[in-house]
Order: sequence, then C-alpha cells, then structure tokens
Amino acid sequence: MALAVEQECILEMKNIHKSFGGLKALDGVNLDLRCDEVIGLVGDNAAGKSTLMKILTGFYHADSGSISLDGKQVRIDSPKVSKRLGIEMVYQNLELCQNMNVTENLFLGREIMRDPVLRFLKRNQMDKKSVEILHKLKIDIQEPRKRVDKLSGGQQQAVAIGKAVSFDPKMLVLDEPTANLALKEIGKVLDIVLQLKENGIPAIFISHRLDDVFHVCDRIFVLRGGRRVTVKKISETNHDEIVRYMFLGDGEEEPQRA
Amino acid sequence: MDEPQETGTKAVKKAGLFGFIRKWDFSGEIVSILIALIILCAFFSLTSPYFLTIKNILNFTMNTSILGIMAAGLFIAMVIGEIDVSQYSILALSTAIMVIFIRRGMNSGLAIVIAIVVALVCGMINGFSVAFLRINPIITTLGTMMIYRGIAFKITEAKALGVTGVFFSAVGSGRILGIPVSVYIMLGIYLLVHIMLTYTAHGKRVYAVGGNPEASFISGIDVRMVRFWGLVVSGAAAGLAGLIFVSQVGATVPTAGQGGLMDVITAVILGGISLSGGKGKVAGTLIGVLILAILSNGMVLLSVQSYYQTIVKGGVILMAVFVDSVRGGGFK
Repeated sequence: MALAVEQECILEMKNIHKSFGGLKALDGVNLDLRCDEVIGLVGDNAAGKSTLMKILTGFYHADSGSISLDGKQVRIDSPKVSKRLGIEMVYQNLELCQNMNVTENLFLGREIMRDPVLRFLKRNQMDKKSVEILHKLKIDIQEPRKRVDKLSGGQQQAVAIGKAVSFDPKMLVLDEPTANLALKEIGKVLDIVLQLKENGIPAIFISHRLDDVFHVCDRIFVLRGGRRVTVKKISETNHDEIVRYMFLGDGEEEPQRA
Repeated sequence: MDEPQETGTKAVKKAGLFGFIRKWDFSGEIVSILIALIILCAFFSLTSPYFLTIKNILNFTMNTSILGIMAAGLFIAMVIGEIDVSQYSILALSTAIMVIFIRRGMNSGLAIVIAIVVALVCGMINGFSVAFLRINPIITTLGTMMIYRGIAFKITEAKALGVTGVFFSAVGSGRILGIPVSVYIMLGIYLLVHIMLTYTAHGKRVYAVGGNPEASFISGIDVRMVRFWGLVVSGAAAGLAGLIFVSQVGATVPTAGQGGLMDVITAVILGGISLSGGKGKVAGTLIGVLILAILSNGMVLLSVQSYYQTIVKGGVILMAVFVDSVRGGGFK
C-alpha cells in the first residue's frame, strides 16, 4: 500500500535484497522515513528486521537495492560510514560499558581532551555536557559519574539513547529499546522516544511490543519472511490487523522487482 | 531536575570521605585485600621477631620491585582482557642481549636502550598475534614464552653472564633516604599507570575494551590497537624489570623467573582484577604484589620448608582464581 509522500523523505531504502547462502533474508524490501516521524518496524522472528537495519548501519551489505539519504543515493560500506552519514543505532543489548560511568559511556571514543598526545581528559567539562545531553531528553540522571551498572534497566537504555543523540544524528534506529524492561521503566523510555520526535530527530523503532509501537509511532512497517507485507498509518490500523499481517501475511504483498 | 547542570556538577563535587573513596574508586575488593595484607603483616610480626625490622622490610620491598613492575604492565594487559605468561622470558631475553653487548664493549646506555627495544619488539609480536591474528593470548604467550626463553638459552649458552656498571650499581644497591632506588622506580611506574588509567582517554579506552569490546568498536575505538598496545606495555614492563634484575643480581640468567611463572598473574588477580577484563585498580595490584612478597618473606623467616612454600603459593593462586570467579569474572 503506497502512502502519498506528505513530508520530506529523509531516508529511502528501495528494493533491498539480501541472501545468506540459499536463504533469502530480504526480498525486495522498501522503507522510507520522513522528517519528524517515528516509524515502527515489526515482524515475527526472522522477518528480516535486524538484517534490514544492519544493512542500513553498515554491518551487512545488500545484494541489491539502493539507499538514499536526503534524496542522495549513498553507499554504506561500514558502521563508520553509517555513523558519518548521521545514522545512529541504539542496540537491543545496550551497547554500554557496564564497568564505566555515565559520562565515560556518553563520550566513549570522542572524549574531550586537553591535548592530543597524552590525551588528558577534561573531566568536569565532560560531566557538565553529559548532564546537558541527558537534560535535553528529560532523562533524570543527576550523577554523571555514577557507574552504569548501578543504574536501572530503563536508565541504562536512556543513557544509550542519550549517547546516540549526542552525536547529533540525522536519524536514529532503536532496536527493541523496551525489551527486558520493567513496566514502569518502559513508559519512561517511550517518553524519551517521543521527546526525540519533539526535538526533530526521526527514528525507526523496532519492537515486538505492539503497545509501544502504537504509543510512539506514526506509521508501521510490517515484515514477514523477508518481505514487506504492509505499511500503515497508526491512525488507520489496529493491533489485530497488524498481528494478522505479522503472522498470516494476508496483506498486500509487494511484488518482487528486479 | 530544574537546574540539571548545577545538580550534576554539585553531585560530582560532593566532598567528604565518601567522595574521596568514590574518586579513588576503592571498591570492596581493594578494601578486603588491604585487610588481608594487614592480617598477614600482623601474623608474621607476631610469629617472627625479624619481620618488622627495617632491614627485613627494605629487603623484601627491594625484592618486590621486579615482580611489582611486571605486574603493573600485566595489569594493563589483563584489564583489556588479555594475559601474558611470557614476561619472564622477555626479561631473560632482553637482559641476555643487553649483557652480551656490554661484555663485547658496547656503551651501557646504548645496550640498555637495545634491551628495552627488544622487550618492546617481543611485546609487539605478542600483541600482533593476539590483536590481529586473533590467537588466544594464553596460547600465544605460552608459545612465545618458549621461543624467547630458548633464544636466551642459546645466546648465553645457558650460562649466567655477569655485568657491572655505574647504572647497575646505582639501581641495584643505591638508596635514597634509606629506601632502595628500585622501590622508587616501581612506585613511580605505579603512579604513572594510575594517572594514565584514571585521567586520560587512553586509560578509559583500556577499561572500555576490557569491559565491552563490541560497544568500544561501535563507539569508534580501534579495539585491535588497544589490545596490541596492552601486550606491548606488558612486554616493556618485563624489559624494565629486567634492568632491575640485572642490577640486583649483577648478571643475566637465562633461567630467570622460570619457577615463578604464575607469581605475576597471581599478584594481579589478588589485586582485585577480573580475568575477563574491564575491572580492577592498579593500586590493588600493588597490594597483591606486597601480599605475595610478604607471604614468601614470612615463610622464609619462619623456616617453612620450600615444599610447603610452593604448596601455599599454589593455594593462593587457586584462592585468587576462586575469588575472581565468585566476583563473576573468569576467562571469556
């Protein structure tokens, strides 16, 4: 089902194919993300969600298809290139160093240094900036030198999102950000995602939890068996319909294109 | 969170004893091994009248410096999640080359530089194999341990080769304010490692790679280079320790450290490091080194038979590894 383009399209993935040996992981998938929106990417296990996002973030290379950012076709060869293009991903398994504090995690790999050789840190300046970054997203962590493993799961996820946002990304990919969280923490993480939207950062939200998807997303893309089954505006669909698409795939199956 | 900036900074600047403890990050493990050290000292001072004499204390602290310097280097490698069992072989090889050159008439200063370069190259070979060829660090360094040791035996023809010089006598028997020079060198190295790990981006990356290499990679850190340099530092520490060894013994010995292979690793593990990397403070390693040194010294003073000493040391190694696995460490 093709939706009319209402806003400027920041990301467009067209006709993405990917196979692992004889297994077709993605079969002509299309996906687009517009400015100021959050889209949900859902599907059963092995639907192709992670593969699609790994292609976007440079971990895998597509066999065929194209990716455009801001209307320009790009080639994403590696995670570094993806980052350089402004695509940040928050991983499901919280890519934080549990043995380090909030500031150290937020600035890992791009520390603020006094000199380029000995690389002494400007620790107070980094702490101050950490608080600023977290405050922008209304994340309530007041001690930037608190070790990450002393934070709750929700707070850790918030730090991970804060870290991604601190790179000033064009867009974010959130991989199951509410998985493994207690119920009350889920709400806080969803608030941060809504805050992202308010701050003008579009995002792709991957989740198995449809409640969360319906809470924060504007549109929802359903994948099944490596193919895009449908794309719906959240306001024009409901849980039952999406579940049907996810497991029965009786929606509009996109034709394979060369 | 009305004024988050103030709140955050205030939290950071929170003074007092807790602030100090947190700043130094004296974790429970360091406090517990500090207590173990005190108990050990109390035990030996009660059981041997010689233990607390100045002469004895200076004696064992001087003997500690070789183990201590190697442990400081190994600590960095182990925080990264690697291990190096070839340190004593690097010590033997680098000092053998140095002494041979000096005996053939080379200037001592130049020979010392060559010894350090040899140690660095040995560390680089270890680092390259582990970081770039992804060979298991234990296997790599077990292999290179034999190679370096074998070369040391070959070039010295399995003999101890004596050497003298101003540098060696200053480092070997020199004292400042009554304290051996080698102890100052060891403490200086610990201070440098502490500063590097706590206040520089290099140090943060060491902990990051040890704690979560995937997160480090995603954050743009060159994980392989961090791993590589970890083992280079470990090798360099062995080279430095070698200079002190030659200064104290007055010779290079191709069998140096052959019986004490696990001493350095034990000291580092006792100091609260995790075998899986990412955790530990170098101050803890220094305490671990002191515990081992005091244990050896105390048992000698009590005339404990050497067989029993070996058994006790083996027990300490097992205990250290057990404590590590209780803490949730263990090999990855």
